[in-house]
Amino acid sequence: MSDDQQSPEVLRLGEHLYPMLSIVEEPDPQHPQMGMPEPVNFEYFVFLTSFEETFNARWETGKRSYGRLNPMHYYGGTEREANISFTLPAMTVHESAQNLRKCSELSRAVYGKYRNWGIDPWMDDFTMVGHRYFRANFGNLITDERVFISSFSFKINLDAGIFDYTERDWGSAAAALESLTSGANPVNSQIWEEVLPRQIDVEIGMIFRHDYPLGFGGPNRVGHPDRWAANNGKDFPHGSGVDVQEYMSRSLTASEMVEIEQAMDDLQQRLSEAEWEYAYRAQELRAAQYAGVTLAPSEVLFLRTIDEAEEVLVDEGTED
Amino acid sequence: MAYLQANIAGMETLGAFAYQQGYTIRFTHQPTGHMVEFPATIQSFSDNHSPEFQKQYGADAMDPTIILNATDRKINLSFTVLNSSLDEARYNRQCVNLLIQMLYPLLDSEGLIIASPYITVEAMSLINSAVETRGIMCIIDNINYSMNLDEGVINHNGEELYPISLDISIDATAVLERDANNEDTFLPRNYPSYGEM
Repeated sequence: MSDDQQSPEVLRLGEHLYPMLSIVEEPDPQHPQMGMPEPVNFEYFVFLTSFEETFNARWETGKRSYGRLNPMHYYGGTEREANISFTLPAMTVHESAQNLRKCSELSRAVYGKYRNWGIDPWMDDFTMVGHRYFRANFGNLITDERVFISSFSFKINLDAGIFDYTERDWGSAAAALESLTSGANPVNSQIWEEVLPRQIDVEIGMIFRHDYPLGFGGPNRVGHPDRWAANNGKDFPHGSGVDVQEYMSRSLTASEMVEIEQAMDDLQQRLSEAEWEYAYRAQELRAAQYAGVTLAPSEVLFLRTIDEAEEVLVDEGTED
Repeated sequence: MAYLQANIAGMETLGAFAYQQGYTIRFTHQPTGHMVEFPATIQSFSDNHSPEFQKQYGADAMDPTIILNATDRKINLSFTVLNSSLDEARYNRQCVNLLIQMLYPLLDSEGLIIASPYITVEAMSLINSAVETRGIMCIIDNINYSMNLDEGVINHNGEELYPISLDISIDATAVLERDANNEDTFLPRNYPSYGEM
């Protein structure tokens, strides 16, 4: 088991039953050249204890003249925020240390990015260059969304206990557990003054920054004002694992319609050209046949196909 | 126009009883006409009518002169969405999605807002128009979505996660209605209409 791999029991449970919480830093979309020094990459199975989302519509109330029944209401947008709480339990020292490392990494998510301009080699000149961008995934509750981490809270549950330092030899019991933890002592921290909690409670806050249009109608749904604007065929805000409702289903966008019309025009033009070429070729072959030239089997087949097509066209014309 | 009804499947379910009795909460998105309806498993309901007063103090007067500017009506409603199977959870998820989507506006072809997300809320006799046989148009300030994880979850393939019980809490401001057909009263006679009494 590597340092970053969760215990086999947790992995087995997670892979079959529960989704993984993934919070992965991504480059600043406006300045991708800035790079990501020490990117945060949290991909971990967690024991979810609470999941709460708030959708706040920004309504501003205008001035109300005396006696007016309702004030003017101005709508400004809708914000989405989530608060997720989870527990990181540890059965062994190894898991506890790993949990602490992961928390340490995740806590950096709420700090900005700094850059050392390094003009003076004798003095550090760090300047904040902006916040971090993240891509979050959590099963069908958070589906590949761009987020900012707005809060991080780390709490040790001391009632659950910690792994103590001791010089006592635990004998065969420890040896049996050591086989599960790559030879590390599972119950003895082995490091003086190291606090290794058996349970950590974490709470994080997220502000969503959607990178697709939200609302009904919009540029991707021209002519369909009752359909969801994103037009990506996915449910919003949470996935449902089944086919989406009709108003959420994918439809052709205006640009796609133009492309299809252009392609149809091209096809029509090519068909007309091909039709003309076939007619000219058929005329040539018929003239040759009339002059007594023996045609190749493929040429005879070609003429027969043309004749049949013409008959069909004549029949259709008669029916019309 | 989409019209979704949560917990509608099955004859012996909570949903069937609620729909049979008319114990439902219905939301209609005004710009699009989309509707979604939930069984009224109401956890809390409050309807606050708040007058906005202005006080003027005069010399030698103990009590201020009160001037009423206007009265606002704020509604707070919370209800639970219950899932008894994977299929029901998936369908109810789409119903809740539609409710949340109702907080978003109607956009034009350039992505600009052309209609704000006014929502008509109808909840039996608790939220009911005093003028017409429909609900009250509201501004929903926020929707809070909270999973009751202690009551268990339904999961599938390690990717889909649904709570058995989900709390939805809504804060709304009512757009007050006037009975245009009645000239002798400003507000409808039976406003705010908590029932046919």
